[in-house]
Amino acid sequence: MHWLNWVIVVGYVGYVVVDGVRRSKDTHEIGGYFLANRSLPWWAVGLSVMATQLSAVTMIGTTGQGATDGLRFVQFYFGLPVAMVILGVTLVPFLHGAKVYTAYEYLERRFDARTRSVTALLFLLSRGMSCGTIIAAPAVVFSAVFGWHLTTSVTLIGIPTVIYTMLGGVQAVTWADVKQMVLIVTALLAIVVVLLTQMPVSPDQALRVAGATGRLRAFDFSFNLHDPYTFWSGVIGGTFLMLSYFGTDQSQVQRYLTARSVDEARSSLLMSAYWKIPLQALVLLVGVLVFVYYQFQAPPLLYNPAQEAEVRAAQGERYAALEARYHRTFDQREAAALQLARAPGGPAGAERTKSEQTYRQRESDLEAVRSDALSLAHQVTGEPSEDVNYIIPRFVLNELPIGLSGIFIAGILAAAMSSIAAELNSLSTASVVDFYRRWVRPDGSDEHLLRVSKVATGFWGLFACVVATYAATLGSLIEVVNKFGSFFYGSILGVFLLAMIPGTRGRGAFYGLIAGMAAVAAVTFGAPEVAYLWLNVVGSVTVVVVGVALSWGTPGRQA
Amino acid sequence: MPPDEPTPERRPPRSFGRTLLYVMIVQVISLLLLWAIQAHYSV
Repeated sequence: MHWLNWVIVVGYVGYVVVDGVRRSKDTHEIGGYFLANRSLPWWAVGLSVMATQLSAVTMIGTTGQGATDGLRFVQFYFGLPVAMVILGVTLVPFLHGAKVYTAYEYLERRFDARTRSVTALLFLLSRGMSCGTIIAAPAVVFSAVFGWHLTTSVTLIGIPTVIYTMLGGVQAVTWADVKQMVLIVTALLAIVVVLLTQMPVSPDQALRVAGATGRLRAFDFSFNLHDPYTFWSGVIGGTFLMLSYFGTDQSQVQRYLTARSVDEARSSLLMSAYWKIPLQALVLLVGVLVFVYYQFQAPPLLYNPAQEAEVRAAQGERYAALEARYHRTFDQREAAALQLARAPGGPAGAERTKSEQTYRQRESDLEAVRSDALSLAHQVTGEPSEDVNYIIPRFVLNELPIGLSGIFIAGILAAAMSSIAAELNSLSTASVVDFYRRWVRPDGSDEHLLRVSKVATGFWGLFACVVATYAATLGSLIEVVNKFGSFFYGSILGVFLLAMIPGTRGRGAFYGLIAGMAAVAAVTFGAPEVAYLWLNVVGSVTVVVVGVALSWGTPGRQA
Repeated sequence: MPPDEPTPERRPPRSFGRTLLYVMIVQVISLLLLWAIQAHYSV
C-alpha cells in the first residue's frame, strides 16, 4: 500500500486514541465512566448506536455479499424500524426512567436477583466471545492482504481500542463513534462516486448488467422457513432480533442510557429507524457496483492473496492453466456485458433479451472457472473454499486511487473499533454493576469502582484479543459462538417482554428463560434447516407463554 | 424481596406520533425506491 494511505490510516487511529485519552480527564466517577452522567445529545447517541451495529464485518463481508448475492440481504433489516418504534414506546422509557446502569439491573427490580444475574451472565459469555470474533474477522483479512502475522493484526486492531475505551469510558466511545460514522459514510459514498466514474458504461447501463444477474432483486416474498433472507423473515424474525438486540443487549442499551432524557433516548433510536435501511442498501450497492466494475476489468482468479500464493507454489501449472482459461472466458464475458449494457430498446426488446441470455451464459462459464479455482485452493490449503470477504479489500487496494484506499481501510478499522469499544464498555459495566458491586463490594467507593471498571475493560479487551487469535485459526469457533448467541437472544427478549406484562413474577421469568433456551435448542438440533432469524421468535414466545403460565398459575408473590 | 417498581415516564411525548409518521414515510420511500430499481432492472 502507498505510504500516503498508511499516513491516513495511522493518523486516524492515533487521533481517535489521543482524543479518547483526552476525554478521560472529565471522568472521575462511574456515573461519568459508564453513562456520561446522562449528558449526551441525541444525535451523538444515535450515531453511536449505528456505529456500534456497523462492524468491520459489514464493511468487508456485507459489501462482498453485495458483490456475489446482490441487494437481497437488505431484507434482514426490514424489521428494524418497527422494532425501534416499539422500543421507543415501551422499553426505552422503562430503562431510562428506572435510572439503571444496565438493562439487567432493571430485571432485579422487576423480578429477582437470580433472573438479573443469569441474564447478565449470558450477556457476558456471548458478548465476550463475540467481541473476539469481531476483532478476528478483519484481522484475518488484514493478515492475508498485508502478509502480517495474525497476532500483529489482532494487536493493531485491538490494543488502540482497548486503550481509549479503558481510559475514556463511554464519553470516549460515543465521540469516537460519531467520527467513525462520518468516516464510514464518507468512504462508502466516495467509493460509489469513484466506481461510477471509472466504469466504461453509464450508471443506467451498469445497473442493467447488475439486474441481468438478479443482483438488484431486493424483495423475495416467498414464505420459506429455510431461506434466511426473505421479506417475511426480515419483517417478523428481524423485528424480534432487533427488539432483542437494541432492547436487551447492554452494548446497545448503554448507548441510549447516556442520553439527556427519555425523549432524546427515543430520538437516538429513531435515527437508526430512519437511516439503517438506506445505509445498508448503500453498503450492498457498493458491492453490486464492484461486481459491475469487474465486468470490464479482470478481477483476480482468487481474491485471497495468501491463498493464491500457496496455490501457485503448490500447483503452479494447474493454476496457470486455470488462469489462462479464466482470461479467455473473461474476455468473452466482457464483450457480452458491453453488448448488454449498450443494447437498445425497452426491457422487453428482443435484442435486449438475446443479449441478456448470452451474458448470463458467459457469466456462468466464468463462475465455473472460479469454482474450479476455489476447489483447487481448498485441496491445497484445506481452508473453506470461499473468498467473498476478500473481494472488497482486494478491490480497494488494487483499483482505488491513492488516498481513497487509505480512507476506506481507515473506515474498516473505524467500523471494527466502534463495535469493539461499545462491547468492551458494556462488558465492563455488566461485570462491575451486575456482579462486583451487586455481590462482592456493594459499599465500594466511587473511586474504587472506577478503578475496578478500568481494570475490567482492560481484562475484557485482552480476553477478546485472545479469543480473536483462536477464533481466527479455528474457523468453526465463529459458527459455534453465533449459534451459542442465537440460543438465548430471543429468550432474553422474552424476559423483558414478560417484565412489561402485569402480574408476572420472578419464578415465571427464571423458568421461562430456561424453557425458552430449551425450545431454541430443540429447534436448532431437531430442525436445523429452520433459518436462524426464526429462532428469536421461538425463544421470545416460549418465555412469554411459560412465564405467564407459571406466574398467573401460582398463587401469591414468588419473587 | 418484593419487586420494587420504578416510576418510568410511560407517556410518549406529543410529537412522537408525528415522528412515527415521518419514520414510516421514509421507510415507504426507501422500499418503493428499492422496488422500483428491482422492477426496472431485474429480469
